[in-house]
Amino acid sequence: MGLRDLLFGRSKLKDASPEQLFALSTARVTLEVELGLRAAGRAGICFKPLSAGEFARARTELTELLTVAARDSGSQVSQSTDEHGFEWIVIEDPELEDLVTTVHLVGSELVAQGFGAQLLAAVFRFDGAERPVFWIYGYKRAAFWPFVPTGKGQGRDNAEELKLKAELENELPIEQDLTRWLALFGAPV
Amino acid sequence: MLIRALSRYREYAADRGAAVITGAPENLMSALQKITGEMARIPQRDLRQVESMNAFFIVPTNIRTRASELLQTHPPTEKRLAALAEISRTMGRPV
Repeated sequence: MGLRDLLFGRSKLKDASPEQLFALSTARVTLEVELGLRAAGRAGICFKPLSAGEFARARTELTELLTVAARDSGSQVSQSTDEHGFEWIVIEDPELEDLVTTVHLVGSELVAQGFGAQLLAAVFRFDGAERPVFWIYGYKRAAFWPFVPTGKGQGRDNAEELKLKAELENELPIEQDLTRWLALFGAPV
Repeated sequence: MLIRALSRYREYAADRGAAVITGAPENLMSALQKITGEMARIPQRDLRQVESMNAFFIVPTNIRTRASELLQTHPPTEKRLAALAEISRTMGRPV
């Protein structure tokens, strides 16, 4: 950061980084054996809506990208828009390792095509506990955080989330600033 | 409602027991503060909501009325902390 940026209070936008995603594959054993959580075979990548101009360009490129990603990985890849107007790329693959690899591939491609600033988060669903557990990966912070919605309105099980943090602290890069553990209610995964 | 009142009373009693047995009410006080503090820091807001607002945060106002306290099974943390501080004083070690 230069002196001018410092004086005017500007900070450089951090580039989206998909590199820490692979830590989730490593954490699979702990999740499965110690916590009884199994990958549900679905993950989603969430990104910000594009402006009309970008949209036309992105459409064709995204479709191409998704076809390539699906062919190379053998995962099912689809696209949808949620009620907030945010775009989702939903990836289905029974193996967590393959799921993580495809999410990484799609994320890196989006960054390479110049959509890095739009890239928000990847969400992985795990079943086997009382409630579904979601691990959210924030691209800008390159860290994970747990999200356990109670299913009632905008409720979340904070006690369970803090427990998950404590259990996986040594294996996953976990977001240490709890105020950044933002929710993703109704994610299509 | 009576059961909930009883539950709140027992919670104070449990706090008191823990404080007297360990002889260190301040340990329980700091644990209580830590847990409620951490939970309070986890946001309710949705990532997409925050992104659309461009980091223009609106702090939710949390109004806790006395009426809602009557429906809780646990007393509010501030009251538990106050009760523990009182115990600490009677034990001759003001916090």
